[in-house]
Amino acid sequence: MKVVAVAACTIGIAHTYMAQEAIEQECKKRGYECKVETQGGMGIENELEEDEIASADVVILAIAIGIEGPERFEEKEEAGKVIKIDPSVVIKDPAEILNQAETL
Amino acid sequence: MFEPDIVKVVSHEFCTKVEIITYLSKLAYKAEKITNVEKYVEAVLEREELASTAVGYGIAIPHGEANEVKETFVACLHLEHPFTWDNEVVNLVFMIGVPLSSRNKEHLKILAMLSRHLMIEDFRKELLASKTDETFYESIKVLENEN
Repeated sequence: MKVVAVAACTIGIAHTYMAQEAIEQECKKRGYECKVETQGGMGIENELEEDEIASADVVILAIAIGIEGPERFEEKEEAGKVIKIDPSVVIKDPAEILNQAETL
Repeated sequence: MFEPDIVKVVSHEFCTKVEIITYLSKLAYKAEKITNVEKYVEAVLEREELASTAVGYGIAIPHGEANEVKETFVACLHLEHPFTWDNEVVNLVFMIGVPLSSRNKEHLKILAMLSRHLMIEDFRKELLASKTDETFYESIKVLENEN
């Protein structure tokens, strides 16, 4: 399974990066390929490439604010492959979110 | 970024989260990180009202963005007596202050590093094993040198 994600919170100093770590750790545990883009106080980091999004099985948007480039995920959205949640949700229980991802 | 004056292990039993936030804000004021305790506390509580900053794992990360913040800081608190922060038992509190303007990129980088580390079980264990201000500070300070 291949997961791509975007993490972004309101102030962009803590939740964004905790969500990134939570998703990465859980994916690693399951042997999933994974890349998490962060849109925080330091701007966009670890930016997702077009082909990385295209080839992903699931997209996790752990976001509490509007993000840069939401149109990149439209196709996946139409295919029902996008999970959108608040960063705090995936921080608290990354396993549950990845379980959901598996059912898409 | 991390300073001994705002890194504490405390045995005092707090009754409310406002008490904890005020306690840490006073430390931040003494350490010359903020210019006004009340206004900063207000900013932090405003953020708390949007959504609790208890993130699970026994950790709360209250934060405030305000003009009263001179430079980005994080006040770290290890509570020997766990406190229930909006229905979550918390024994580590990291209170972050960010100025509204002129953010220092290096500081944001360290904050991101701290945030990521808090998700790592071994790091949390090490923090909880620190029973004095000095050892707690030493455990956190190493993050400044990581990349």
